[in-house]
Amino acid sequence: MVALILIIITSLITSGLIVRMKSIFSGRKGPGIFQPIKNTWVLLRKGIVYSLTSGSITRLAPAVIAASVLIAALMVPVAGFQPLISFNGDFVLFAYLFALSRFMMIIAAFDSGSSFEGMGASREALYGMLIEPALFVLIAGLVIFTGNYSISSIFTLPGKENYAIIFGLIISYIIGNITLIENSRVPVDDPKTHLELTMIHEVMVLDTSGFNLALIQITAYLKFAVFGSLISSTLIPVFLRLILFFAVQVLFGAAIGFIESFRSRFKMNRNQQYILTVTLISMLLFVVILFTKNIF
Amino acid sequence: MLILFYVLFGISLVYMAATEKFKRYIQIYTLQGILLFGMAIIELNKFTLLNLLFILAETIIFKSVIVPYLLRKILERTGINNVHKRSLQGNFTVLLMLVILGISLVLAHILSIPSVDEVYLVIAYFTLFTGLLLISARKLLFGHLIGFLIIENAVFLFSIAIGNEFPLLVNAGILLDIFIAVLIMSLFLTRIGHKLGGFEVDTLSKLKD
Repeated sequence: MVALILIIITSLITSGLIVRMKSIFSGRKGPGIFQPIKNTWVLLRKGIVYSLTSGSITRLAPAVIAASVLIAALMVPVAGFQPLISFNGDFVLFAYLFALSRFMMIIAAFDSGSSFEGMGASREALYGMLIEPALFVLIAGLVIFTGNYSISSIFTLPGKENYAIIFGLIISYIIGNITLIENSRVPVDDPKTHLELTMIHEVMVLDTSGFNLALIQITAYLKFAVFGSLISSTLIPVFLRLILFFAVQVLFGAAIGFIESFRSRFKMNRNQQYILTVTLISMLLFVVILFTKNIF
Repeated sequence: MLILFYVLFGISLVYMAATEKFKRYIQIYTLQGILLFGMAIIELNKFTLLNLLFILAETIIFKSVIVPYLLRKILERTGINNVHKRSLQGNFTVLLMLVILGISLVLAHILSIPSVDEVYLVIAYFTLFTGLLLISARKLLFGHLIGFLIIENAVFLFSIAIGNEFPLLVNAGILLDIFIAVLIMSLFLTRIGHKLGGFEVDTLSKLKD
């Protein structure tokens, strides 16, 4: 239960922290850390408008998207506390809950009947397809390295083996990149863009409003918290986990804010290359893990 | 610590295959020189002062200082920044790198020697094939030059894998070959390239007495 509470607290601050960092780096006063949450709260109290072409999927999708990511969040170890859901092989469910969330987002975009949203959905499907192997190869490597089959155990590296800190750093780098791709952030996508032709995630929710839009935003906050927690689990030794957990989360949010401030987004055709590069690094780590465990 | 160098060296190769800016090639090559120095110092636990000086000269001085300086001069004089538009696209290069990683893994396993650490062989083969890929995928001479330098790094990795048994003279010979290649190519690119009307590999076929 403590894990869930910490995940919720983290999800409340990470998004605001990114916005805050971007404001600081661009020399603006900018909104406060809790402004994104306040915006979401306003949306939660608003009514929903559906386009005439949309069907039942549009109505169902936001709830399924939020629920699937929330269940995935319940599987993640947070600051040394055991998750609510944990069993052998739960990483497959974890990965497919994220895939389900993406799938629902894609079919909801198609269901809206907008050609712009269809375009965004096709891009999202491609990037999702390309990044999934990176996540699976990473998890496979961790399963081999730790000899465990549950997310709560495989991401608990420090102190267990030699090379744990080195692998922890590289895994954090890979998860950081996966976060940017999963959450459609710079350099893959720009959440602040106003041109529909260059949008990926934002164009898919153009027809989503009120309570449904709030659910989509909450999902994005939860995703940050989930990946941030995985990074802190791989990096921090067990006895320091509670103390340093929030420090890692703040650093994680600040790093994303830093990247978004100083890095421009890629041209659309360079995105596949970037995602494949992350997959290749994941494969490389997998190969090295095979050798360190004398399997190959 | 050694494992960190392996992985960082592998990641540097991945980024080298993915990037299309020549400035990045030089930066990554400089980093590789430092990584190779670190690997050599950790791996070769019995070396003489002469060996140490040679490794220092080959990695830090040659790979991280002199060659990057020459390469930067070439870029400044020729004004070329990116790979040729007709070069193999980055997506395909990265996909080919995945295949290369698989091939390196299999080759290292088949051709393994009991006294040699297999992971060294994997990284060495991976480096060798990355160099070959850069040579075959890039159209400009500068890309080929980088490919040759990467292959030389692969030879250096093989030499570390074999350890103290690798003759110093052979390594020095290879180093000299590559140095001369860099010098000749820099001369070609800066002095003759403009007259020839381009820096593409195809233009070499137009050379006459």
